[in-house]
Amino acid sequence: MAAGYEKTGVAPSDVGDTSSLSYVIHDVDLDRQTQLLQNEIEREIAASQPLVTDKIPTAQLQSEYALDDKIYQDKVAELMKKYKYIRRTRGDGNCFYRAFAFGYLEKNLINKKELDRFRQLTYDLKDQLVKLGYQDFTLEDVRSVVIEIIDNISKEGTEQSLIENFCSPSYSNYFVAYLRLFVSGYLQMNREFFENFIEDGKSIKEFCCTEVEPMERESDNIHIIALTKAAVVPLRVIYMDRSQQSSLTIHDFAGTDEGTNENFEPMITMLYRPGHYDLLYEN
Amino acid sequence: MALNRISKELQDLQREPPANVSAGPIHSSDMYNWQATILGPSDSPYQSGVFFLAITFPSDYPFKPPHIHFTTKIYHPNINTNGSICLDILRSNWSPALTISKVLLSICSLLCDPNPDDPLVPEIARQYKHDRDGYNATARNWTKKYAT
Repeated sequence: MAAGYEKTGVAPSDVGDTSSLSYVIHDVDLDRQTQLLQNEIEREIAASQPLVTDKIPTAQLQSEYALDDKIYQDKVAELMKKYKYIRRTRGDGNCFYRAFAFGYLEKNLINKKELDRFRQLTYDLKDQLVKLGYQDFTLEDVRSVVIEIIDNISKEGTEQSLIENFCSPSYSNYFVAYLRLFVSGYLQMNREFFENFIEDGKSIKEFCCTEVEPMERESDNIHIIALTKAAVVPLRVIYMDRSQQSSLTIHDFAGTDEGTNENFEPMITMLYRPGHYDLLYEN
Repeated sequence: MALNRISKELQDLQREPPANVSAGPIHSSDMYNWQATILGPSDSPYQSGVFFLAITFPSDYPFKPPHIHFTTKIYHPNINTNGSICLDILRSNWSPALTISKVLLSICSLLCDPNPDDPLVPEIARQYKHDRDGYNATARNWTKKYAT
């Protein structure tokens, strides 16, 4: 121990005292305090941001950046040319899944055939996951709520009822949880392919347990690829970041293996800014 | 909706009780507060101890993890004097696909295999790494004193 302190050049006698003190604080208080602080931050975010908002004119983004922030102001101007509205989602780590669920259902409000297709996928996923070793009752619980939402939407869904459903944490979070399972199931069922993209030497199963299934864990490209393929829903993501190029970066995710082409027709369009996804609308 | 899920967990525990572990509501009228017992694993210094834990389910369970802490004193690098447990699936790695049964089994594993690289009590972690006999002796002592 003494050698360690000498390396840092701090007098051992001083450090001896503070370090033992810090153990006591850590042991008794710090752990609990960290959790309380985290809860407090979550409460503040929940109070200030709805889970999903109404459509807002894209022009409002201009006021989010300084007037002399040329890179962002140019990109917002570029974005406004094509996309008139944006719908914000809460920045709680679930934004990609929530935007996906909302955007999908909204696009298909009156498309019963498409909703039936998705309902069947939702229904079948449980048995696929049970085969992978998941416990039936934990899935049944989530699936039944998701099916209920889909059924309500296909009966009498409106944009407003969808917003109400998705602003209610219980409904909304069940949908998010189930989409996370879609991703997890797809990754595990296509293990050989995805294994090559996992870093840190994690197995696919470990990756799913630590980076996919826990609520509030953010999404990366691998999650997006898995969800668009599992749900067979084509998605366009417009990337807006501080890179110098003046045009926006467009990334298309095909729902099938055929890949994307010039006639790519996304069912959902999202705006990505570092760490966050919102929905975009042309009209 | 949390209640529905908690009831299913209770049924599951009763139908297929995991080895060396039991859990259930303290009062049948309150499903949110449970007590659990863990029998100290035989290949650990906690052997022959009976450890009690308190479980509280949050109202937004299973989206948030259950709160679990030891009410029996235990000498372990990842469990502090308040009984708080440093276990990834009780914090950031919790997911709605997990259950109380799985969590209790993970706590049993933690008793057999402490994780000294992510300690809650650094002194015990250091002892576990550098003076295993001393750690075993104290842990056995505490088990005898507080858990039997």
